[in-house]
Amino acid sequence: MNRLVGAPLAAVGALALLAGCSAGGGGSTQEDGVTTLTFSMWAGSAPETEALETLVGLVEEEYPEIELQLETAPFNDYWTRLAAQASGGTEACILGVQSPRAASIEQLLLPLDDGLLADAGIDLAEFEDAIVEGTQVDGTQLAVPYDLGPWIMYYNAEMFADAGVDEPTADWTVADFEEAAAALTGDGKYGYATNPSLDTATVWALTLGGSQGVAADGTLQMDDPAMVESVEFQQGLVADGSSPQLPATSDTYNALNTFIAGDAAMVVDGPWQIAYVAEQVPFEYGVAVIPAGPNGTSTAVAGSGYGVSASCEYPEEALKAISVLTGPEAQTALAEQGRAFPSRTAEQPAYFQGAFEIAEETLTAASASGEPLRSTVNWTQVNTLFAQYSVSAMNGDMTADEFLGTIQSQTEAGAGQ
Amino acid sequence: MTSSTTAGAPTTSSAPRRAPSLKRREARTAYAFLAPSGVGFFAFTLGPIIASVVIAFFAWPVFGERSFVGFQNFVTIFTSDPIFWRTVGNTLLFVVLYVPLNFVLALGLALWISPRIRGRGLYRLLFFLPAVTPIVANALVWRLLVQPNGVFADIASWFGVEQFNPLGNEAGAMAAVVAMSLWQGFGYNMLVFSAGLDSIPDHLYEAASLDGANAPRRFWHVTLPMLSPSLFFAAVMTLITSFQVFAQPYVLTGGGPGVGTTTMVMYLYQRGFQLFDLGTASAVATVLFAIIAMITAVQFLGQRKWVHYE
Repeated sequence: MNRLVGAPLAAVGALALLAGCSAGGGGSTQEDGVTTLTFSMWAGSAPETEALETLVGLVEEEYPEIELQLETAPFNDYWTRLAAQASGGTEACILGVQSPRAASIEQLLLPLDDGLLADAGIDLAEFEDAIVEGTQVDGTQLAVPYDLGPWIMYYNAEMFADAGVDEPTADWTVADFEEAAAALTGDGKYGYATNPSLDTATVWALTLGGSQGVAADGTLQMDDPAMVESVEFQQGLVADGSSPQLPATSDTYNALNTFIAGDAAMVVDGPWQIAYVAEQVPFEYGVAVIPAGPNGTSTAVAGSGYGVSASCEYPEEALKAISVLTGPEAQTALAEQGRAFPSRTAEQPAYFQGAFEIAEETLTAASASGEPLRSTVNWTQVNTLFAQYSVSAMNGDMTADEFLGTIQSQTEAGAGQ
Repeated sequence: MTSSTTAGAPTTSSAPRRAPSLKRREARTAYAFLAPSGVGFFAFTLGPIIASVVIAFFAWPVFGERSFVGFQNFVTIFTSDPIFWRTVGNTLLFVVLYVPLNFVLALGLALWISPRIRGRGLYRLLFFLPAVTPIVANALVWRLLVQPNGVFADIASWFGVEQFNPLGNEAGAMAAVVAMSLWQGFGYNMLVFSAGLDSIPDHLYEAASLDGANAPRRFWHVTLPMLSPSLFFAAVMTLITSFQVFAQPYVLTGGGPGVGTTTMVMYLYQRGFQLFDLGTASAVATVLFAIIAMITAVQFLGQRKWVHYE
């Protein structure tokens, strides 16, 4: 009898053990003088994963007593997985942190005080101020930044030449943009591809109306007149045929892919896509600043970094690893591959070489005139709602007021729960 | 237990003592064989169900403090949640459209290939293939087919339809989800019905023919009653899986446009893992569990009236 009862009990025990192992004590273990840390980061393609593996190699070369176990997921899935892992207490030790989402995962991250950073040899004075601030919440540093970037306009130079339209200049205006978009539309091609993302709507809101969907004090203001103007502007482009209809809520990369396929002449995206664009497009492309609105040009700026999870048992080792992941050598490597515009000011020139030299003037100007993309604690919810309703809104089935009002009210309803 | 027959007990015949012992041995063997799936059931089915019901009574954010709130999560989703009732409606709409269409398609095709026609094995294989291909892959292929520059748009343009974008509006998106689900799901029921049809003895049809029954009457009075156990099984399983629909709207439409194709399971996933609110997500899961349990119970109660077991 004991043997028979013992078998299922042993199985239950094994399961418990398995569950215990997967928890991994805050994503870290120490054995024979080697500290193994899990490192969770988003990566949407094989080259991105390879770039991260290069960084892991740099860490293990610098600190042989540290071993990193890399876990990757595409950007949107990364946040979902992080939530799932955090709910089970199995989050990784080193976490990728995007600046607008830092506030929403604040409780998951270890505050990085000056002492901890100094012990790991990290001096934040060597980094661009904007993104150092961007990775803080209420003045507390939550991550060490590795990149930053303003949103810019990618354009198909060959389509411009074929249509006899002048290429965008550093001082082009929204009127110039609309004129070019209309002239480049026809024969199944579009002047511009509309993005269903809140980031892009914010970029247009800043240049058209000078404000964004979050106030300076962190209050959500989706129904801000500048946001309404931004949505109406994009709806107009779809309505007059300059931009294709949005195909599906689940297809968040449609705009960029339409541009890459040569079916749209312009698209708004970040410099983090430049390597992908350079690899994929079969035509000559260029980048320009966002066209100037009534009060000049402005764009949003965001970036990313690496933080230490509060549950990590070896934060000193994790920060040592981060010091290499965000160090000069790693940032130079990423910059040369076009994978990231460095957050370290001394390494930024490395980005503007070879294929990415064309972006220097634009990125410099856009960074100077841009302002940080503001966010709220429930930023993931706001983004999810925006993506969900934007197909109806951009395709003209909802007015801009209805669309933005829905996001505002549903976010408030969610916050009240 | 075994020591209850002590040495001091009067010894009568040894037979009565052996019988329970054999029974016990058999019972133990049965338990041993049941143990692996039993452990699996408790660890991966019953345990999570109970855990989910418990979590439904807590404010349970993914990050931060958890606290007991009683029925508050249920009150919230029933009274002030702007989306919950819409997702219930979407789920019911999906069930109402999908289940009957699935049955008509599966039964129709099963009847079509039921006579000993040539290549019926091949037909069965072809119709069943979508049921065994990964649902996410199927949904992705469907998305490519129905997007504005896809194959369906080309076909639509032959008929003069210029703006073909079904996933870009609510009605079209739900229709696409149902159509894709039918493609994915009818093969399973078709196989169940096909096996059921094969097991109906020929002499019943012969007897019915001799009694003068024509084809529709034979179908109504022989085929359907004899197929009723298969129909009942398929009805229970299809209703349960269609209430749980998730992958199709998740991959094909992202629950949109708006919340036009957000089903209950998709909503609980969003609340739990995109909005980090596990308490409310569990409340939605509990309500869904109750709905499915209730409908399944009604089906089992009703089966006596129409299901015929030989």
